[in-house]
Amino acid sequence: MKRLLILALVLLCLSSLAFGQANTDLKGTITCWTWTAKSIEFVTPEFQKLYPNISIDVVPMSHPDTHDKLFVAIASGSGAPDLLTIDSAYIQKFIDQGGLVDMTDYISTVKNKFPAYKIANDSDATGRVFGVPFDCGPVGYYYQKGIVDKYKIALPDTWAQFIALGKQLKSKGVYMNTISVAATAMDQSMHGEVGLHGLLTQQQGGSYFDANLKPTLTGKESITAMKLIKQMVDAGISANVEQGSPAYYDMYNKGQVLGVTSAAWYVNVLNNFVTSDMPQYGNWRVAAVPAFTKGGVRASNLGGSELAIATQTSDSQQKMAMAFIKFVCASLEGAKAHADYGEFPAFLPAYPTDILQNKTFPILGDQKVYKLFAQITPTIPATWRIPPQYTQIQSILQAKMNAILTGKVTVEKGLQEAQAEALSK
Amino acid sequence: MKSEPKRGEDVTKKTLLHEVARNKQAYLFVSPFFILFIVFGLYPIIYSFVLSLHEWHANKPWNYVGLKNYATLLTKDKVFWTSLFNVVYIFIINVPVMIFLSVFIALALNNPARKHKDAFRIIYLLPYVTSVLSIAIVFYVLFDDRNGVINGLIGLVGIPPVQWLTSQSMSKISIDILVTWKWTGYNMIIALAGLQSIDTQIYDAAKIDGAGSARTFWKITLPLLRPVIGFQFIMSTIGTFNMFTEPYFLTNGGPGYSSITLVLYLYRTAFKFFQLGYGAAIAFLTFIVVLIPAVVQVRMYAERDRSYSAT
Repeated sequence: MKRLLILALVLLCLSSLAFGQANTDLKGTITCWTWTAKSIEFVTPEFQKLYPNISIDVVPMSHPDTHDKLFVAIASGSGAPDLLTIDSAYIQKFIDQGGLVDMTDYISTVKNKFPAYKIANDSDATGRVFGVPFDCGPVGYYYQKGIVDKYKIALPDTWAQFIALGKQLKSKGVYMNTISVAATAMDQSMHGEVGLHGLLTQQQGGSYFDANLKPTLTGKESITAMKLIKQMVDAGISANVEQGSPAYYDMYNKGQVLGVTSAAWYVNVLNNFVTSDMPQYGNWRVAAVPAFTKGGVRASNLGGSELAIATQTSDSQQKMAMAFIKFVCASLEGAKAHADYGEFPAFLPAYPTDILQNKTFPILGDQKVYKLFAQITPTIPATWRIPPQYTQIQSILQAKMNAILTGKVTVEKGLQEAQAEALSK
Repeated sequence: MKSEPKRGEDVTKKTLLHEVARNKQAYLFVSPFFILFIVFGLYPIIYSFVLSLHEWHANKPWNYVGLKNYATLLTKDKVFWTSLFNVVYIFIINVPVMIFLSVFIALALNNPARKHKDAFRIIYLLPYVTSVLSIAIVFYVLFDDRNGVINGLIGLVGIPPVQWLTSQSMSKISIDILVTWKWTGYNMIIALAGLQSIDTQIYDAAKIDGAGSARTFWKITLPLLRPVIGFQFIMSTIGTFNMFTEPYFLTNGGPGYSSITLVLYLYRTAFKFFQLGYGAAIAFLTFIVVLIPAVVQVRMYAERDRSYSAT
């Protein structure tokens, strides 16, 4: 522990040396489109300590709007902002479209300080990098400790145990998680049922695409993942409510649902709906996701975001945007501000330091949750491919999930149909 | 130019130009609309038609593919046919019900004996002036399986809960309910304006001739209201076939593809999957699909009007 603290201090000193004095040469305002406005606004004051003459004009937008408007701006050749947050699942489409600045040279010195899978996520086929990892989505099982204590249950190590525990809790009127059988994924920023299928597929080392980027929705990991979801639905251990709907929050408030399998950023979802006067406050904890086989992998990824610059941006604006990106994504100060906000940084040098190791949130009962995520992240299977057609394939699969989960088609048949549709695109 | 142009053509051209020159002030006055229409209407229409003959992923060169996009849509794309089926389904249920309700309410409000007419009109028009987004959010909560008011109410009379938004069989009906609720007031105002434009002398004459209220309605009100109903029909057809916001916010086109509409599919294809050429082809087919019923209806009414005025 002591050693870690010393290391953290040394690193902090070193990084502040590197930054040295505040930079007053860069002057101006950069515009930022983002669906996580609070996160950008949260880190801006820290950034301005180093760059007092740069101000950030944050334009808050919904998750779909941020991407739709960027697409239109790139297609029409004007109107793009200087700086953007882009969902990890979307960035390849924009790289393919050719609208993002090649940042390979800018970040060459820090490139290997991010998880390899994140850099791959932001690179094109030739290895040029067009985005910088902003936050990672290491997955955990969020649960309410009060319920665990009340029924004196042991948290599951495997998905089989998860289902067994679910059956046990069902008699007490408590669900293990939520799965909306309609699978409409109304709130895309929560990733929906298709997100759950994706993270379970990735956990087994699978992917929606083979090495030639041909869709493989009928891969064995994909089938196993879908069967597991179907099993949860059939066993009646998952509440059939839509993520992010009023009923969803209501069920957690009433303690009718034990937990949720989601990513590090779910801390902020909790921050948004759990207030300090609720019994849930301070009652949430995170555990590693159950494994498929005893001793198997207990890590996966869900979502995450990247920071990028549009090519339409002028050189001087690009410099300022780049300074911001380097600060937020690739410095310990930036990682600290970002972590304090409640998103899990992708900057690996911050992982062993105090910044993440001792980071706690009152809503999670001061559990050292980022220490857990820092352990999980390096073990996330790097097999997950996110080519430009990723969201399209995801949407095809999502449309098929209702028929699969209601039993209109078998898991295999449903995935075959989705695969056929994916291949026809 | 040919040495001897056809006579008819020459004359019409001359007279047309002549007419324009003669009425240039009138043309000047109507020109702002046409200039705006050309810039924001005609140009994009032509542009998107040309685009529909190409493959274009934005920012890359256009790749000419001829009618391939149309061929794929019509022969291979099941989602396109599903979305077409969905809008027709929504149309068939929604439009007759909505127009019947709007005329019915307009008749009730047109009764001179009715009190607080303005208050009723405002109440009926409120859904129309409220933003679709806020309505959709409210309906999303009302239609909720577990905690929704609608399931609560029908539960009181012993009907089991209905999966309004979460089953493939009900999702379109739920959209119908929302659309009918939102647009009946607007159609009612149009019907009311139609009713009020009917000369009261006709009713007086009918009364003198001894016609009862039912007979007056069938023989006078309804025939005279027909152009108005025709207008409602055409506007509702266009509105329904171009529907986007309601399914987008209520069901996101789901479950499955059960409530995806043509425009929602177009939006996904063009703006989510970046296939602009293919999206443009969907837009054009949608345009043709809307055009058919609209033309049929306009023809039907023109036809009948002619036969009426002849008799």
